[in-house]
Formats: sequence, structure tokens, C-alpha cells
Amino acid sequence: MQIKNLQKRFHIGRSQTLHAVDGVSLDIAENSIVGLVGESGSGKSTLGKTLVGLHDKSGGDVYYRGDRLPDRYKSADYRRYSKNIQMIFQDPYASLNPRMTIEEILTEPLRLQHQGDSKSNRELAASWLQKVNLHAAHLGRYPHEFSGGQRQRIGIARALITEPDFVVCDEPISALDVSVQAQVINLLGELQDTMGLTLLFIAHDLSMVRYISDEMVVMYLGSVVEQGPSDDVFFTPKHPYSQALTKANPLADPKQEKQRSHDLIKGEVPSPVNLPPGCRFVGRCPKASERCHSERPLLQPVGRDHLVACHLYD
Amino acid sequence: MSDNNIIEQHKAPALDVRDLQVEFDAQGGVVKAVRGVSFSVNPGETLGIVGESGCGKSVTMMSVMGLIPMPPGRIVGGSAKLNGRELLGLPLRELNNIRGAEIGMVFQDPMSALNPTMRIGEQIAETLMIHRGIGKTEALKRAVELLERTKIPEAAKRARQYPFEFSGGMLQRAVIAMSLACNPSVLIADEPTTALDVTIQNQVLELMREIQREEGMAIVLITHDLGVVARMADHVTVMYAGQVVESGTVDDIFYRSAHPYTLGLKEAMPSAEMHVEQKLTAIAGSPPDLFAPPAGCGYCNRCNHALNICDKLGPELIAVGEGHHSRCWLQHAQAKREVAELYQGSKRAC
Repeated sequence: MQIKNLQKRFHIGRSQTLHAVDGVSLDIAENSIVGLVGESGSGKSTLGKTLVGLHDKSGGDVYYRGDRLPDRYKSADYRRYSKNIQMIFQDPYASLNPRMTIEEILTEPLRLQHQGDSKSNRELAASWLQKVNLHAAHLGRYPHEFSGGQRQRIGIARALITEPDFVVCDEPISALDVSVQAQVINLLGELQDTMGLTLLFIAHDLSMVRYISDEMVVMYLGSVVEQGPSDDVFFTPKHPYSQALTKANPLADPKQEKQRSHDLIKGEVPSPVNLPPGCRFVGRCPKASERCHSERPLLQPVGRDHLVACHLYD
Repeated sequence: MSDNNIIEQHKAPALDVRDLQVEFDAQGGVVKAVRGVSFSVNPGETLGIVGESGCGKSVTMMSVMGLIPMPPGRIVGGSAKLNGRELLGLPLRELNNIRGAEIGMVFQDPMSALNPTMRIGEQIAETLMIHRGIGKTEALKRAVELLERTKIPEAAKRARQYPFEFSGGMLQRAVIAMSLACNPSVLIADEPTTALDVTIQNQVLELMREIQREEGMAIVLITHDLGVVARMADHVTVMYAGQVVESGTVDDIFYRSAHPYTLGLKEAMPSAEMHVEQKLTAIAGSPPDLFAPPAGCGYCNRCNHALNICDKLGPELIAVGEGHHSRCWLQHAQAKREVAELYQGSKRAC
């Protein structure tokens, strides 16, 4: 998957424009897991949804295996691409239709692809339930009969049943309890390995993203501020925003927590409507200079495969 | 207040809950949501209550504050004392005098904790007018001071705005300002930062800390985030299936975890060295159905260390150190040897 200068703007009346995704370029290598982090409003979910065609693109190009994805999906496009590009959603309660049985939920992607007959699809659905550690006997049940973690695993089975290569996971664990998060993460890691999946893993839990992904991408107000190998970005963040994020990331270790300084970055994410020129982070940045107000920094290398968009590293 | 009184106060817990039991009538039976929970918190200290959804941590605090709808809820037994005064069974009028005055509350969703049709300043002033009998002009002035105290910029202007004009982090500050209006001796915060981003969470937690240092109030912090507990708590109570399974100082819980559930929670999170090739130690299964609580230990069907006795008879809280208790047969005097063997097998044993 190759993303070039992707833009997504929403027009919100009175000639105001909200720049949700503002010029993101990203290459996602096959069989890799790329973690995408950022606070709410950073545009990470919008980016994920745009990649699978749930939002129209406002500009830029997305190539999937050299094939340029359409700016606006028509129903034939969904049929063509959704076999290979799938999505796992955040809310396991809202993403399953409560009036459909688990069998109907799992076989719907196959039916839309005109794949198999009802008997073979049923068998496939049953085998997928087992792969996500549920029972084939659950096929006739409805979503409300399952817990959050179980529903999330059904959502995973639905996304993977057409054997896609590329899956966007939009905060797949943030609605789950800690004890259940590990189940879902282990399952995703295992399936990624056996099926050779490429995952775009969107989350705000930095520790979990560092653990699961090969590469980490940090977004702020619609643009990428830092990207690189996960351990590099997590342990030696370069951008002041990434530094603030890792500093604020709570650690389950009282001694470390009580020792480290809690220098706070002030303020909140500003509104992405009618953005000013210059660096997006300038209003909250402790190290901002004159130049940051007028000139927008571009991504530049600071280490091996490690890019950062900040004038400090010019 | 004389010095003697202050010393006296420091000895006695600000909030002391003993053997609390709460049930709910539901379709298909009775849910035993809280099954004998005890804890206490001293002035100036923070108690973290940890547990997953459905473990009864919120119901416990709601019962203490008399916020459980009855029916279908029912407090079957136990006591909850605020500075020595029994709260359970108090008539509504007296409870209303205590809530918001002696106990402050901060909830997870600040938007639904505030009245959307009232200006922020007026909502805070209302608390002062009711509990302190202050006139409106004076109360509004105090409201602005409180907003300044919780570091809301342009407090005077903000006080005249409505909740929808505030961001999530700002709203939570406003709720904290409101809960502090009458200098409560106990602040109950139920997942106060769960809905917030980490940088904002950082700001709100630091604010709570600072105010606690100045006011010396006790904080009960309910959360599922072990990182937040590690940062904020002096003492920790771990709940599972309506019971306390482990309690102790924050160091006891993190560095000398005794209960397999606490260990499980810690191991379910990736450590700084781990990568996806190394599996996380997930806790298999899900919590028991509290319609029919198990006869034995609630955790035994998910526990790697379960003994024969565990599904037949539930253990009591057993002291494993000074002020450190665990509800597990492995800590029973007769099981000690076996424990050592079991924990040797576990990866990150205590």
C-alpha cells in the first residue's frame, strides 16, 4: 500500500473547511504491521476509513499493489477491492448488526463477493469461529449473546473471512478490558503471521502499538509528525509532540511513575478548521521559534528509516 | 480547628467501608453485584480501586453515596462510614446534605455529569448556594475562583459559557471545580480520565494531585488503567466478581502481587522489552455470571494455579504481609509449599 499526499477535507458550511487528513504520505510494506498513533482529532481514523473507501478522497493518491484506488468508491469498486482490503472497527457493539445471526454476519462478505454456496460458506464461517476461539455452535446466535471481547473476535473473523491482504484495525482493543485485550492482540498477531497480513493498527495505547507494530507513525492535526521503527519512535522520540505523548503514557510501575517528571504540555489540540500556516504543533510546543509560526516543517530523516517533521532537526 | 483535632482526623479513615453487600433484582434472578467488600482510605491519601467492567467497583461507590436505584437495587448488609458517620440507610434529605458537600464526585463522562442548559458558572454556584447558603452574586464569584483554581484559562468568560462550548478536558476540570466547591473530605473519582487523551489525562491527574496536597482530602480513584493507579495511588484494592481479591500498598500490588488475577493483569500488558513474536499472557475466559456466583473462588475457572479446593470453597482474605491481603488458597498456611513451586513455573513470578 502506497499513500501519496492524501487529503481528506470536510466542508462544514459557511465556507469553512476541516482538514482531517492533510497531505499524508506513507508506504506500508507487505507483511508488516504499521502502528498509527495520535490523540483524538488527529485524523488517524479518518485516514483508515479513507483507505478502505468509507470516505471519499479529497486529493492525493493511494496505490494498492500498483493499482490506483478510486477517489470515490462505486458499488463495483467495493466489490472489487473489499475482498483484499478490510477493516476491523473500534466498537464491537455498534459494528455488528443486532438483527443478524453470527452466520449471516460472517457469510455476508462472501455473499457480496459471490463466493461459494450457502453450505460451503457455512462451513467456512464455522471454521473461522474456531480460529478466533469461539465454537461452531455459536453460528445461530445473535450478537447480544456475546461479550465485548467475543464480539470483537467475531468482527475479526468477518474482516478476515475473504482472506484479505490488507486490514485496517481502527482501535480494535480500546473498548475492551485489559485481560481481554491480550486475547485479541495475540489472535491478531497470530493471524497476521499465518496469513501474511499487512496491518494498519490504529490506537492511542502507545505501549501496545510499540509491542505489536514494526513501524510507528505519529499523527497530529491531520499530518504525520514522526515515523520510524517502533522502538526508535517509542524510546527515542524526536518530535516534541511524540516526546510529550511518550512522557504522558502511563506506565504500570509505581517507582518509575513517581520518579519521572510530569512536565505537561499545555493546552489542547486546536480545531482543525481553517488551519494557520506553519507547524501544526506550534501553539503547544515548548521549543517553538519564529520560523515554526510561518513555515511548515517537512518530514526529513534523523536516523535509519526514522523521519521527523520539525525545524529543530534542520 | 485545634491541633488535637487534626491529629485525631489523621488517625481515623475518612471513608471506611465494611463488608458491603449489594444485590439487584433483574429479569431471571438476583444479581449479587457486590459480595462483602471492605476498604478504607485516610485523609490525604489516594486509594485506587482496580478491576474490569462488571466487577462491581462502580456499584460499590454508588451504593456508598446512595446513588443506587432502589428497587431494583438493594443493600443487603455492611456499613460505610464517612468520618465516623454511617452513610447507609440515611434519609434522603441528610444524604443530600452530605453529597456534594462532604463527598465530591467526578464521573467518567463530564458531558452527562453537567446540565447542558445551564451555564458552567451557575452550576458550580448552585452547589455553593445549596450547601453553604451563600447568595448568588457571592457564589458566582466563588465559582470563577474555583475555575481559576482548576486552571481554566479566562475563567470569568468561561463561567458564562455552556457545557457544549467546552472540550472534554475542560469539562472534566469544571466538574472537578464543582466537586471541590465545598471542600469535601473525600473525593470519589470514577474513571475520571478514561474518556480523555493521554496528554489531557496527564493534566487532569496532576491537577487532582496538586489539590489533594493543598486540601488534604482523601481520593478514591476507580479505574481499570494500571498505569494511572501506579501514578496516583498510595493503596490499591483489586476487585473481581464483586469481591476484593487483593489489597495493599501500591508497591505490594505491583512488586509483590499475590493473587493470580493481579499477576494476570500485569502479565497481560506488554513490557518494554517484548515484541509481537513473544505472546502476551492473556487471561482466558471471562468473569463468572453473578446471577449465580460460584460456590468457590470467582476466578478459579480462569486461573492457571487453581487447586482442587478452589471451585468448591471460596477463600477468605489472607494476610500475606503487613496490610497486604490476598483472597487465594495459594496463600493459605497449608498451601505455602505448593505456591512456591507454582510461581517458579510462572514467567514473571513475584
